[in-house]
Amino acid sequence: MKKRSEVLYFTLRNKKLLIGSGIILFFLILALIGPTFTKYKPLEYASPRGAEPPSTHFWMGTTFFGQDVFSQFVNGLRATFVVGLLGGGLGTLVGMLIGFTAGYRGGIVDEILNAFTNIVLVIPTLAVLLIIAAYLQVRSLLMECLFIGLTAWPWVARAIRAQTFSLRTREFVDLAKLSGMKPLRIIRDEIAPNMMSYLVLVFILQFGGAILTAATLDFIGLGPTNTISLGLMMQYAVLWGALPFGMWWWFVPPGLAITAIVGALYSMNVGLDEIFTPKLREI
Amino acid sequence: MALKVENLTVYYQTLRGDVRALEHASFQLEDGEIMGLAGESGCGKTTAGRTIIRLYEPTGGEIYFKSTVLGNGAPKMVNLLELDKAQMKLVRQEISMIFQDPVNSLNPRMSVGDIIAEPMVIHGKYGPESEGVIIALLERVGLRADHLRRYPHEFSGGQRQRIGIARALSLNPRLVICDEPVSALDVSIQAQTLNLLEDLQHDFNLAYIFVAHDLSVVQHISDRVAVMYVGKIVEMADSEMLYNNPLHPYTEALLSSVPKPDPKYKSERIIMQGDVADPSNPPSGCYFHPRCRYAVDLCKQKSPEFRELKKDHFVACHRAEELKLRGI
Repeated sequence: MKKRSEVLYFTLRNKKLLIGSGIILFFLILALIGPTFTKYKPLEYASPRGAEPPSTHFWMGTTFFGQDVFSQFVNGLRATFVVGLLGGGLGTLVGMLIGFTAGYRGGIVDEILNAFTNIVLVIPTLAVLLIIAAYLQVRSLLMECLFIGLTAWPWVARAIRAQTFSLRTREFVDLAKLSGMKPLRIIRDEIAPNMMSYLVLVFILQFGGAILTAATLDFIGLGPTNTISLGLMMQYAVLWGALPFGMWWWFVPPGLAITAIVGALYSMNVGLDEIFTPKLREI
Repeated sequence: MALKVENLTVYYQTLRGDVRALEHASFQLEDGEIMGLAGESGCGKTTAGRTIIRLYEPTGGEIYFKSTVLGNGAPKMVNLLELDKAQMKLVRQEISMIFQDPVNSLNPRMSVGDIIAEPMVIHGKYGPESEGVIIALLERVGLRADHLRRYPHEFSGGQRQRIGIARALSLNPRLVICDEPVSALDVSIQAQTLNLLEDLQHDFNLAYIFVAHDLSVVQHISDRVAVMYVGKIVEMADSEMLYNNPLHPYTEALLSSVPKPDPKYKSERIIMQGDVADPSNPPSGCYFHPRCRYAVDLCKQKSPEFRELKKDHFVACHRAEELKLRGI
């Protein structure tokens, strides 16, 4: 009980974590309920007069084609969270699977998995995506998550492998083994809980990384073709001269949101790190 | 007979060649007997303990264990190395282990109750009455019932070792392998823990394999002692016999290093020359000959046989008959 309240105490007074999670929560709520405040679909040509600055009717103005920026923004936020959750989640999951297996089994299994990890690590993601994108006419958001998840896991795998290596030689793991516990349960009950804080941090980093990668891919035109996202908004804005014509309402909100979300995730990461590692706490 | 080990051999494969951690170790253990395994660091005593419970796979040899579970209630000798996975898991209820490091041998994320219950859960023996059993165990090893929900970091080293002991006993084993159970503890706590282990051995009629480098600890607790040097058992006898009349020069040298409580006692310590032999590249003949002050040419050429020189007193030394060695 004492331990739990101590964690709670440091959680509640850690500004980095509170500010970070506050920002994330704000955007998450916006993404969830935002679309109910707008009559227009994100790609629908709502205004016949083309680009318009923000007004009471179009809260964030309209694009060059007269699409509602607010509708694009809140729907794009949804896509961003989906990419973070699925892409980052998949990356973490695959990394855990490979890292735990390599670290726990060791020996030849580890050699093979580690070699595979290193190969994937040095494959230039962007080049591969260019090739894949050239072959696919229609790309969905789900496919983008899959790409990101399947290319982002090696760092997770390497780190978890190293931690598992150090934990599996601890004697309580030997004790579990010689009591007859099965390897999967040893990993789940004995090893994983001892790096839970680490796994949470890894997931948050993967979440932010996936959002950034998605924005990059969207911006250079390799994003999903049948939907809207914050990265795609910026791509269209740049493509149709939002910068030279000063249509700031078109590209500032998505750019700001991506920066804020990723920044908030990193801030959460540092804050959580301080809570999990007493040495880093600010007194 | 609770356990019979024959020619147990463990080689670790490394890039520099095989490390001979354990070579042709043979011994047996009666029900309720405490057998001490003593020797310097790296002599293979820990390997022996861990191989018996098949934490390490041996390169050769046999391990016979008297199992009641596999005999359906009647004791039956089984060869642990011939068991399949399911049978081995059943036998694991009857053999348990206590480790040296009380910090690392308890999972810091589990409560004391969960740690002790773990073996029961693994073997599907955790039921509604188990919590009472665990509390009784806790009290038996000198802890309190309200410690059940606490976490390992809230305890001292000696208390943690008691938790480890309670966990080792939770399935009512027949054999407990104690791997240096007290060497990480304070001297005053060592005595308490040793006494607790002795009491438990009486109460539950346990057999112990007691691995330790501290000869006074081994002497205190063991009925019989095997002294090991570079993976081989060099001498084995009743505790008293071995300490009073050692037959192997290595045992003599070890015994001379045991501190005596008498300040007037003029100790004649035998300072051994050189280092422990490298188990990946052991010397010819008797492994101990480069450090032995009684060594003759024969010792360099021929490896001595492990033989029963007196009744129940085994030794591996060419000159055991002629030497007059000092004990304590």
